[in-house]
Amino acid sequence: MIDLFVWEWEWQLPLFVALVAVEVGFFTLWARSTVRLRNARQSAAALALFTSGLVVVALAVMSPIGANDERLLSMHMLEHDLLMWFAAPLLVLGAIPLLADESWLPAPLRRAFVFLTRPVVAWTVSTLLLWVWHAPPAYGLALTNVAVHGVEHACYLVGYSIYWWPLIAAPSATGGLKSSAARVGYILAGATQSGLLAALLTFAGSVWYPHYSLVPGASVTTALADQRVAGALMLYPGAILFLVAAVLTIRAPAAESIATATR
Amino acid sequence: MTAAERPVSAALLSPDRTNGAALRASMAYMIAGLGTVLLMGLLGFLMRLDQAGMLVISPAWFYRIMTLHGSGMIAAVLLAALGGIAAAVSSTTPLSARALWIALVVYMTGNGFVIFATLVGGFGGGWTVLYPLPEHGIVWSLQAALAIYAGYFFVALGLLLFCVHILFAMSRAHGSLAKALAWRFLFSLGRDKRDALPRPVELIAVVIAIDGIAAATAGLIYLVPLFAQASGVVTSVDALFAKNFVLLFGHTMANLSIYITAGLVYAALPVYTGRAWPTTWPVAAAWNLIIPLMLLNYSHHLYADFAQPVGMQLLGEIGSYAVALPSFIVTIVGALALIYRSGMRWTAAPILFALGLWGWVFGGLGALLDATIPVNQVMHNTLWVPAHFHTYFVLGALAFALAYLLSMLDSLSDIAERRGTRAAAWLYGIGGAGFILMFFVSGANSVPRRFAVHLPEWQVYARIAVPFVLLLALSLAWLSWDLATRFGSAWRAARRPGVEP
Repeated sequence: MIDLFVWEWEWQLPLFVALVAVEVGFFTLWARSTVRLRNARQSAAALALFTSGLVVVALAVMSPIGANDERLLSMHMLEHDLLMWFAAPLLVLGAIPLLADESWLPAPLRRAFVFLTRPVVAWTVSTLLLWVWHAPPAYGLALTNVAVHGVEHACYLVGYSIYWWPLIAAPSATGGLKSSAARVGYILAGATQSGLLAALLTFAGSVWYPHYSLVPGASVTTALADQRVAGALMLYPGAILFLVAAVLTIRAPAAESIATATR
Repeated sequence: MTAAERPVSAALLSPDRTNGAALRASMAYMIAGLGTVLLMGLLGFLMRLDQAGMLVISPAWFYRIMTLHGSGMIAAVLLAALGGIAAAVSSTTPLSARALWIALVVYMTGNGFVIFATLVGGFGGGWTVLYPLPEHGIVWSLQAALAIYAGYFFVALGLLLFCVHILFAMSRAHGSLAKALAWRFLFSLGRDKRDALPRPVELIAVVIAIDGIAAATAGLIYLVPLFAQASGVVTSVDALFAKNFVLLFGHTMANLSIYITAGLVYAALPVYTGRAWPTTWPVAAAWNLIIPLMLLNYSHHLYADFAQPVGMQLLGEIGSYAVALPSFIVTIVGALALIYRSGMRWTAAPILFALGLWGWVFGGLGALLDATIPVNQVMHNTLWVPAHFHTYFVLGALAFALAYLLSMLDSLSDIAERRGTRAAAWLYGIGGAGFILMFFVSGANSVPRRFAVHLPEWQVYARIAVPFVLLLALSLAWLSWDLATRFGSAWRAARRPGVEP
């Protein structure tokens, strides 16, 4: 299986241009809102976090991880992990100071934003995108068509940006979960659906994506072993990531507690 | 005013004496725990139907279900118990809601891994650690074994976080760990009362936190070589080491459930009887003794292991007997004395508390018999063992936990208990007793445990048990309905403005 891994970088000009365009767009909005934010540190952090998110996207897709995604399912899964669990929350962390007060958005965009960041909608959208794209026909299509492959990655990035929003946003912000109980329920719901998919992949007795057994040098046996590694790469780091999310986003709930401990 | 006339809602958990955020987290523990109990109970019913010959489950599925039912039930009842004890101490001790929520997420992550490993991965090795199990099952892969290890790892970690938090919170609230354990009072034989004594439930919270830390640590230690073996770093794990540590972990977790929920009796029963249950010297002595004794009695599961040092075997027998004495003399007799002629109104919660005492006594007696070496050598691999632990789980720990949740709702909810709930509590006792009795009868007739397929002559016991299980299910359905309809109002009542301590 390791023999199939090739150390190479995959330069993708369209992606690079798109990332630069997004960064320029974000920078423009950021520069305009810096005056409004009135907090230099918060403002600089927002730019740094958003930019880091884009760098992670570039690394996931163009580094040897992404360059091997059509040879090894495990590398493809690692690529998805980076997009969903690292790039997406970084982008949300960067965007929150700009979008927390969404009043400057045009009305249709604002309505869509408010709708999509509702926790139930956010969870449903991210879950649907994750599961639909892992269905063998959709996954197979993405492996054979570069444009579809790009759409698949964009779906993960957008879907999980929507998922992370209610957790990362302050309780007072649009979509922000209001209580610790709601945050815990939301985290467990997210962890359960992605964990179930990962478990199904890890414990499957047959190859889900025949493409990987047809790669030169591969066989059904190596593809199955690779698939198990891919599932494990989603299962275990995913669990740890959701726990980290719990530690970072479950706050001391000042508004929902009282401290009249009497003896 | 007699206890019958006095409103229950006045004292147990009045909202102005609780930390609302911690109380809500505690309630979430109880609901998550009891919800999981219902699902695991359903799996248990499927196994009993299979043993009765009324449903055919393949052996591979039987062992998957058995593994999930066993580990899931231990984790679920313990979770409900942890929620109960946190709620009980939160009325006087500042707890961090954040710490409780994070521990819950970690714990539930572990539960998720156990479910995935068994239902999806096909793991069916139970607690067995002798080679080639648990890694090399015929019907499951190494990945499934790794997933179950991960599940146990996260459950142990969640328990550890919870217990460490409780230990620190109680030590801080009382000034030191020694004061939280009432040591000055204890070692002066009750003469030195300079320190403010912890309430019994607070003392019990400290005791179980110490044993919980020990159990969780044992679980984490046990997993290290198993992970190393799975990854090929070591070729084999010492079986005796693994068996001792897995039982120190799992058996203590099961024991913790009953001892924690016994602490809830101290918290709630005085409210119903109208009589105080203070920290007397016998209470302090009994619960301090339980710290070492609870960690010793697991060894009675290793009598059949010839390699186990004789000293450990004797310690297992002595520990199993010794742990029963403080429990029985102090808690059970104390509770019965509290109830006797108190004029207590027998609503659902007191009925379940009384059933819990009954179940604890009979389950404990069954355990004592199993801990007796000559009896153990004949009975240990029969259904006698499931009989005793089902007795103190279903009729002990679970009854106590349900009773405590009902008593919380009595205090916090503005919706009164339904008329049929009292009958449901009695039904719970009848269904539970009949179901468990058939386990005891099966054990006494040498029906083996952990057998997926039962001979026709064994099936009669399970067939008699089935209607009782249905009664139990009916009562649980009613109790769940009552809890569900009153829970929202209690949840809202727990919420009060302020700041977290």
